[in-house]
Amino acid sequence: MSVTVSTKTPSEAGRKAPRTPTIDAAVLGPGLALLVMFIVYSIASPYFLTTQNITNVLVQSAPLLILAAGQTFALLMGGLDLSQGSIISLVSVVTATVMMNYGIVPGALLGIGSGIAVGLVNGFLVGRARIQPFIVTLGMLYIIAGLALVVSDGSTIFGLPRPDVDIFFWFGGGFVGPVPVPILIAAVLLGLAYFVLARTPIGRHIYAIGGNEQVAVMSGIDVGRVKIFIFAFSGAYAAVAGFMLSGRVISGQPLLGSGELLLQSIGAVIIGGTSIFGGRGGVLRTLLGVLVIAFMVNGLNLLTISTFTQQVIVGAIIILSAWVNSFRRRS
Amino acid sequence: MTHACGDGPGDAVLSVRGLRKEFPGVIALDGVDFDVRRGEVHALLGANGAGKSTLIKIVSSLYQPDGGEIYLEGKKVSFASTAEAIRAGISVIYQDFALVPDLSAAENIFLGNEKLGKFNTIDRAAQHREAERLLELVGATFPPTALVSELGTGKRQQLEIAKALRGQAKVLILDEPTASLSHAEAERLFEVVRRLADEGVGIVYVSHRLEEIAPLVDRVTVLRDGVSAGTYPADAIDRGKIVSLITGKAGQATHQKRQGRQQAGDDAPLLEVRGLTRVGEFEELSFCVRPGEVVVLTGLVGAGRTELLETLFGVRPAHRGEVRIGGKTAAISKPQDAISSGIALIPEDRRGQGVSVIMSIGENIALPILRRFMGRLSLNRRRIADHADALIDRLAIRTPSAGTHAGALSGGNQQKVVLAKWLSTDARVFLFDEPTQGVDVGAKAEIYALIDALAAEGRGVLMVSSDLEEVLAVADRTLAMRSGRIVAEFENADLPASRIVDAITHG
Repeated sequence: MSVTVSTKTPSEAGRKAPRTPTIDAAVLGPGLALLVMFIVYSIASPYFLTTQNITNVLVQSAPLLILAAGQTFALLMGGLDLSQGSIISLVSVVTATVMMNYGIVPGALLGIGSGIAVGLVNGFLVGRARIQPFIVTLGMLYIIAGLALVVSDGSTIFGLPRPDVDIFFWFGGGFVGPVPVPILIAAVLLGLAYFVLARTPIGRHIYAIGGNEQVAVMSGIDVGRVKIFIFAFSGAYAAVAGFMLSGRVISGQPLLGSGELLLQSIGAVIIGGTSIFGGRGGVLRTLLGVLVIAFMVNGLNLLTISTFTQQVIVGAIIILSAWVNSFRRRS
Repeated sequence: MTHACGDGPGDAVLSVRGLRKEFPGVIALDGVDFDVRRGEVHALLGANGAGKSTLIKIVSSLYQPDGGEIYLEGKKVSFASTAEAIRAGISVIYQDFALVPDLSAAENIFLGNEKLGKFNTIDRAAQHREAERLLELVGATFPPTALVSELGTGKRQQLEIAKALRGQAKVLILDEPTASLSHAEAERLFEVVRRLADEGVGIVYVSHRLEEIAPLVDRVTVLRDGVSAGTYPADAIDRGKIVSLITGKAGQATHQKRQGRQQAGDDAPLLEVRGLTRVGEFEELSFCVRPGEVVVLTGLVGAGRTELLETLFGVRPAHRGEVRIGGKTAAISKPQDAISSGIALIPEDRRGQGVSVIMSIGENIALPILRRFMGRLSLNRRRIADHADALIDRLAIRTPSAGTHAGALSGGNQQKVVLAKWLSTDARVFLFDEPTQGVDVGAKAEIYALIDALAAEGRGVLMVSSDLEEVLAVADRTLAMRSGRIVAEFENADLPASRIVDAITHG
C-alpha cells in the first residue's frame, strides 16, 4: 500500500481535552432580554420583584410552557403543530363531560387520551400519508375545534360533582407544600422533554430529521415513525395543558384553547431561538422564550400599559429575535 | 477596459488566455488558452474533472478566475454577474434546463427581462411577436403560448436556445446538449446549431458523444487536468487520437494497488444481482461482487449508475430482479432493510444525503447505530464521543473535535465522516457513488487507501466512478454502463483507458 492513513491531526491534544460545557450563543439574546426586563421592571415597579408576583407569573405561564415544550418537538423536525389550541378545548369538554357521570379518573384518562389520539392522527397523516404538517394541523385545528363544540353542544359545562371537582382544581391551582402544582407539573414535563430530546435515540433522530431529512432516511432512520412520535408527544403535552387550564376554571369550556395560546406557544419557541427550519434548538431555549413573554406581559401590566399595546410589543419581540438569530447564523 | 490584445486571432469572438482557477486543494484550471471564432462550432472535450465545466462557469461569470484574461471581440472583459455576461452576448445552456414549468414559452424567454409597455406593465403582444421570431429561428413548431410543462425535453431545449438568443448572443455554450434527447431531437438540434453558426454565432459544444463531433464540429479542443491538450481542426483528427488526448497519462495507474486479490475469484459472491430492472433507468442488470473485490461501475452521467446504487440501498424500489447478499435473497424496500442486510451507501450528493452539515461529527457518525449507545436509561454521550474519537483517529479526519459541525469540514473530510458512519455498522457490502468528487488530491489518496483496506478485510466494494484514473487505480473489475445497461466488463484493470472510453461513449 503506497498510502498511509496514519496521519495524525495537528490538534489531537486539543481534541482529547475534557469536554467543558459551553454557553450556547443562541440563548444570549433572549437571556439578555430577560435580564434587561428584570432590571427595568424592578426599578419601575415596587411590586415586580416580589415572591408573590414571580410565583403568579410562573403559575400563569405553566400551561404555555407545557404547550411550547410540545411545540418545540414539531418545530425541531421542521414542522409545526397548529392543532394545540383545539386540543386544549377538546380535552376540556371531554374531561368535564366524562367527569360529570363517571368521576375524575375516567374523566382525566379519556380527556387527556382524546388529546393524544388527535396527536396520533396528526402523526399518521404527516408520517405515513406524508402530508405537510402545516396543512394537516391546520385542518385538524378546525376539525377538533368543531368537535369540542359538538361534544359540549356549544356551552360551558358547569357544576362538576364533588369531591372530584376539588381534585380537578388541585391540578390547576393547588399546592404541594409551598409549591404550586402547575409549576411542579410544568417542571417535570419540561425535564422529561429535555431528557427525550437530549438523551434518547428518538430525540436525536428528531434533530437529524430537522437537520436533513434525506440524510436521516439514508441512515436507516424510520422517519415516519419518528414523526408520529413527535405529533403524539405534542398532542399529549397540549392535552395536559388543557387539563390543567380546565382545572383552574373547574369547568369544561369549548373555546378554552381558541385564544392566543397557540400563537404564543409558537412565538415562545421562536423567541427562544429554535429554528423554524428544524434541526437546531431545544426545550431549554423554549423555557427562556416562555419566560420572556410571561414577564414582558406581567411587567407591562404592572406599568398599566394597555393589553392593546402589549400585543404590539410581543409581536415586535418575535420578529426581533428571529432577526438576531439570522445575524448569528450568518456570522 | 483595455485595448485589444496582441496574441488573440483576429476573428475570435471569444478568447481566453492563461485562465487559472483554484479550489481548496485542487487546481481546476492551470493556464488554459481557448478561442472561439465567429461562425464556428467548437467542441470542448475532456474527462470528468478535466476542467470543462469550470471553464464554462468562468466564461459565463458564475465563477471568478484566479488568473488570466477573457476577451470578447478583442476587448478584455470581466463581468460582475451572469446577467452582465448575458447582456454582453455570452449565453450558456446547461444540462438541466432553467425553465419555469407553469409559465408559457414566451414568458420564459423574457423572464427577468420583460418587454414593458405603458405604465411599466408587460407588453404581451410585443413579447409574443418576438418569441415567435426566436422560436422560428430555432426551428420550434410550438406556439409562444405553450406551457413549458406541456413540452418534451427536445422542445424545452429549443426554448432554452431561443431564450439564449433573446439578447443577440455572440457566443452560445451548450453543455452536453444531447444527453437527454432522442435521436430525432438531436438531429434537429444539430441543424439549429449549424444554422446559428452560419449566422455568425460562435458556438462552444461540450459533449461526451464523440461520434457527434465529426459531422457537426469545425474544431476540437481537449482539456486534461486543467490544461489544454491542444486544438485541432475536426477533419484532421480521428476518434482514436481524441480518445488518447482525453485519457493522456491515465494509461498508467498512479495509485499502487494492493497485491494478491486475484484469487478472490473463487469465493462465493457477497453481492449477487440478477436481472435487476427499473423501467426507464436500467434494465436487466446482472453482476456480482466477491469478498475482497472492488468492482467499479463506470459510464457517462445518465447511464443509470446512481439509480442502481440507490435501488440496491432501498431508496427506490426495483421493478424486477433479485438481489442476494451472502447467498441469501434480500428483500430490500427501504434503507433500513438494506442496512440490516449489511449494505452501506456512501452517496454522491454528500451534503444532501451523506452528512447533516448542522450536526456535529460525532452525531453524524453515530446516527445509524444510536441504539447501541443506550445505557440503562439514556444515551451514553461519553461512549458516543469516544466512538467518534476512535474513528476520527482511524480515518485521520482533520477536525478540532468530534463536536465540530460537519459543515465546517472540507469535502474530503466530510466524505470520511460518511465513511466513518458506515464503518461502525456491520456492513459487508459498501456502495460508493463518486466518492472522490470535490475532494482534494491528498484526501483522494486516503479514501483509496480506505477502500483498499475494506477490501483487504474481505468486504465487497461496488463503486460508481466517472474518473478514468480512479477506475484504473482502484478497480479489480470494471463494468461499463451505457443507457441503463452493462455494455462491457473488464477483468482486472491492466487495460488501456482508451478501451473504457471507447465503450462508454459509443452509440
